[in-house]
Amino acid sequence: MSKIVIVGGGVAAYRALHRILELDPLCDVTLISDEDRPAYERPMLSKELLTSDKPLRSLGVRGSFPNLTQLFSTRATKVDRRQKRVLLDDGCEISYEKLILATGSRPRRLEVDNPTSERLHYLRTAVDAEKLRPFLCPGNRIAIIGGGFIGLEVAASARALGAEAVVLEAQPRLLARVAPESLSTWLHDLHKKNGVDIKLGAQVDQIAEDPSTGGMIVRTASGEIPADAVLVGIGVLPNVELAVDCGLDVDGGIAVDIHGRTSDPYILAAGEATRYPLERLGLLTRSECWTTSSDQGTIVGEAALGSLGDGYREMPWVWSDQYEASIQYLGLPLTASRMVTHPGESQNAWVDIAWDDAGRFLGAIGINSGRQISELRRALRKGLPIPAKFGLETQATL
Amino acid sequence: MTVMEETWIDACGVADIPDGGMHHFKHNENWVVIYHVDGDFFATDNICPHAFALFSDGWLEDGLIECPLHGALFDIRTGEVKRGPAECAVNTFKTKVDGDRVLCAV
Repeated sequence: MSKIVIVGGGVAAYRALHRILELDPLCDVTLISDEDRPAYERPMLSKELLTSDKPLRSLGVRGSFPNLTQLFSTRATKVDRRQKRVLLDDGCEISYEKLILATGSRPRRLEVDNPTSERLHYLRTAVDAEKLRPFLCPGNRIAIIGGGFIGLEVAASARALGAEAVVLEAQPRLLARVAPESLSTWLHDLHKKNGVDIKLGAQVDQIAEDPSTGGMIVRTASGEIPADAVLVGIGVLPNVELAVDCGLDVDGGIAVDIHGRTSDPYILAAGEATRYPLERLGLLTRSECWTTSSDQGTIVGEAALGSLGDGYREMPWVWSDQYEASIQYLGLPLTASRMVTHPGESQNAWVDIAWDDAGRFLGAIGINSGRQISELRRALRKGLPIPAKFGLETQATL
Repeated sequence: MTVMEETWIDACGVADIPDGGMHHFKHNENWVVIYHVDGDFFATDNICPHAFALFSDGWLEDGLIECPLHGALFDIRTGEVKRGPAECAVNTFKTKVDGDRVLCAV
């Protein structure tokens, strides 16, 4: 019997738990989560959970496992590597033989936020989504600070529900941190067509409550935006503090190998808090990516039981659904020096394909092009060249 | 207990689907896709059980169909989920070849 402790309650933690229980149903395993329920499909929070009556899809454990303990609404506060134990916020201690850190990320806070207001929202957990949802209704206006994926998905959800949406982005274009201009421009047009008011270069100076209306006011250099609610979506920060405090190697994320092994042989890590190697591309990266967290979780579950398979060899792959559009983001296209746009298989479909000067395929962005992205993902994972059908004689410099 | 009787319908011609290809159709309430793999024909629901997307827009390889929207992967022979985010299997339908036609039991 092996005593495994998992810190975290998201998809990486639960995929690890599922794999451990699949391989060893009698395993003595304890999961510690600061959320109030088992993991769920977090991508639903900004989309289906806001716009439909579909229940949140759970990733919880099905079946009975005699040596499984799940501690919810509980925070791990310290890892004592010498004595191999985890300290909890309720004062308890849990010893481990193998520890899995799947601590995920948290929303980056706006410096000028107004944390006492019930109308100011961040969106990371099911509880956050449940609080936000009632504000997305006809007649209401929501101000969204941050023109990234979360902000734009909530804007699309707000419009689907008949609410007004204003997006305030500090950069000169949407998704400036992660997207090429082609995607920024396309998304800008998509949201404009759907009635979203987009304000670029809008640095927020203050978020205040408006006592005359009971609503909120967002103040920028170019004016005031009244809103019934404010959503802040300006990125996430990896939860690496436990790892830093106990002296693990951390460099922008908990340093792991393709099996999720950290610098301590008794500690593994998976998911958004990790910085991991993409061996095919010769790069280290940290991903904010549901599929990566899911796959890495399964791998560290195996590794915690001493089974090392092929390790993580997939590529980061993010999807975003906005209105009727499917946006897919594969690999690391922004590290490329060259990118070309290939027409998709239907109207309103296209694929940007990216590679470097050495001819290495590095990633792609697809709009309504799931089939092509599937094919490109296989090529990227296997280290193959870009499939010939994409005809790259029309190369263009990024 | 009610036993639903199978209804064999003429889905398409054998020559209509190249090897590795798909053909989709709607019959009453069923959205069905037929896959041609190495001379054999298989059929499943055409709608992903995870979120609305058509498998006929997806990627078929090694007997697995990948949903074009969120990448859920299914075995076209058994309907089994091979990779999430889907948690439940997709319905499968029997097929058979009659002369130059592919029949499907819906």
